[in-house]
Amino acid sequence: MSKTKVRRCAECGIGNVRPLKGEGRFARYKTMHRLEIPENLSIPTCDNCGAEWLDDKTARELDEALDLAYRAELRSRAVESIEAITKYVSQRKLESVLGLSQGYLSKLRSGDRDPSAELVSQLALISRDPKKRVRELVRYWEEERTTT
Amino acid sequence: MIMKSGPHWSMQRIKDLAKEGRLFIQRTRALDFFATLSEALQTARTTLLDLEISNFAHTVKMTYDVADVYGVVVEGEGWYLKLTIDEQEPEVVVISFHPLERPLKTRGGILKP
Repeated sequence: MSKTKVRRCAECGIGNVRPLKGEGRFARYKTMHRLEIPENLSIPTCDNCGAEWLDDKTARELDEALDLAYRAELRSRAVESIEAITKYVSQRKLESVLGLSQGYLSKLRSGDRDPSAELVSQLALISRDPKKRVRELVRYWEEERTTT
Repeated sequence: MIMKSGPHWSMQRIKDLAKEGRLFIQRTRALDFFATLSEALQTARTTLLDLEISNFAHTVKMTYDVADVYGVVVEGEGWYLKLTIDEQEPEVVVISFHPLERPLKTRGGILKP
């Protein structure tokens, strides 16, 4: 959508839909239910009812911006959990039970790696009760499985 | 005002515009069902391309526009789809696209939430 293009709003039938920037707009993105949309990003918006509209280009731009915010949030949550866990368990031990290579969590902490949502989920669960959860994982990996 | 004859907008026209990517969809909380907005748009586009006359429910006369309402199945669930065509652009304008809140009578039968 070009910046000058104006459409009539099909929701209210009264207002005009124009590209609008602004703060306080949120969207779901992947696992996160509420990420803030950067205020410098335009979304076609009705000047009467406030309905927001998307075309391919706007959706793509929003997704790109939300992806950056999403990855930053994942990193931040991962670091928060690692710090909570390593008060009780060594980083090496944590890497070991999660099957991560040695030094991976340091890279993640320094912003050198992007954690996956799966890893952030695991770290979050472990951080709720680090000693107990890590002990459970150690036991789990030590268990011998019986095959039928 | 609800009109109960056939769709106001040609289904072929809807599909042609959707195929060309000429789609404008309202961003509502219903799009939160999708992991990304692009995925939501892609699902809406696929749904439009798969429309059949059996999905048609009724036509609604709004303030300025006339909109057709369809009941469609998205990932096994009944969804409500209300659309119009803006011939000035031209493009398909999807006014509503969300899971059904109540049963919807379509040409093909009652679609349940």
